Amino acid sequence: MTARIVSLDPSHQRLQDMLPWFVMGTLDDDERVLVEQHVSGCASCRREIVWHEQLRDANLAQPLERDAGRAFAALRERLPGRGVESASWVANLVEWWQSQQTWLRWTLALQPLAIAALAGALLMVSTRAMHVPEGAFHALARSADASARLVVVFSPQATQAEMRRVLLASGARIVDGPTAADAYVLAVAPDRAEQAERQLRTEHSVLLIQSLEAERAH
Amino acid sequence: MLRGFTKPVQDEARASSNTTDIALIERVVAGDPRAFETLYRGYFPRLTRFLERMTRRPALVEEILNDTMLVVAHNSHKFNRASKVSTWIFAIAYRKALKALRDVDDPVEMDPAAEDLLGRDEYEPKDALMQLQLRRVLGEAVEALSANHRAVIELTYFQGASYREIAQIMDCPIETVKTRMFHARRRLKALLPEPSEDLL
Repeated sequence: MTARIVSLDPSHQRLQDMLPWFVMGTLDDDERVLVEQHVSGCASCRREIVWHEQLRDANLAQPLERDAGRAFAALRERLPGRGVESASWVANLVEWWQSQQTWLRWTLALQPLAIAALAGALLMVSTRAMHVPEGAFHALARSADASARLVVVFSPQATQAEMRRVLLASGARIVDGPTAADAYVLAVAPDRAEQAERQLRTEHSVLLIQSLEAERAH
Repeated sequence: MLRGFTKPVQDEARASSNTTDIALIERVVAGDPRAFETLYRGYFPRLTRFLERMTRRPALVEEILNDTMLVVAHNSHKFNRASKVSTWIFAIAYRKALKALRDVDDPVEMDPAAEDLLGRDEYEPKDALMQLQLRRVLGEAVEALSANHRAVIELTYFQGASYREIAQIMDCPIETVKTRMFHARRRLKALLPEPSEDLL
């Protein structure tokens, strides 16, 4: 049952064995020319080619639809620690820093200090300007601080329409982000926080969700 | 989709794809997580299809795929360009699939029961089969082949791998690939009608 049929013409058998890859166009050029020359005079091999084309075109059943984002999220937890990535990133930054001219390094180092000083001065001015005596007015709505906060990471494939749908379904709104890690901070009414979190966890386009309420409580 | 391309265009497309893959591997080695995710998503459809066909166990596919890509992540620095990136990744997937099949006691070589199945009357040639019936019967017949035969069929016809690449993926001599194809073809051949002479 498993013995191979021995052809009287070894070159015919050898070339016939190559026909699956001839049909797929994956033979080397030399092999392809050899097969073409043989096939032009061999009816048996021409029939074989038609058979292989039928099998190629049958394509059989399509595989199941699978969610690459969900599968990748499962793998992400098993990937080498972020420390490795950070080390590499830090190493690149150090290398770049050392390659710069001395004057440029000083300029770059002083720049954040100058920005911080300006920001501090601006904050002092605006705090004085915003100071209002207690009882002067009442807020018409609940202040933003009263909202529950959630951090979410959407799948990179999530479209704007999909993100909008998810937000509407959960009753949350984006108040910050995207961060460097592509995370968004969502705000939701405190009495809907648990329900919103449950809803977000059912969404395939949401890869990660974390409540900030525990941190705020401390 | 490579099918339908002329040979030079196919070669060009494959070379370009491999160049892109090599660039991604280099970024993975440098610690770029986005490059790894791009590589993962690029290979996800091809690997799920290959693993579904080879293992016939849809529930195992994502686990085997993630085991495969975890090896890629850990060993990206060992990729030495002796083969194409796709050949290297499929070789890892093939070994992981074999291990998974052994873990669940699924035979890798030809199952005697499958030989019997293929010998039954319903698997005799059916000249009048409609194309859809033909596809269904062919699908069942391919499933009845051994894992190694299924892998050769899948890699040849649906992943567009050359026989040399298949030998690298399956870590076996080229002649073994051709012999496996010969036996797989013989078992499947009874199901497809012989083309008539006027088609030629």
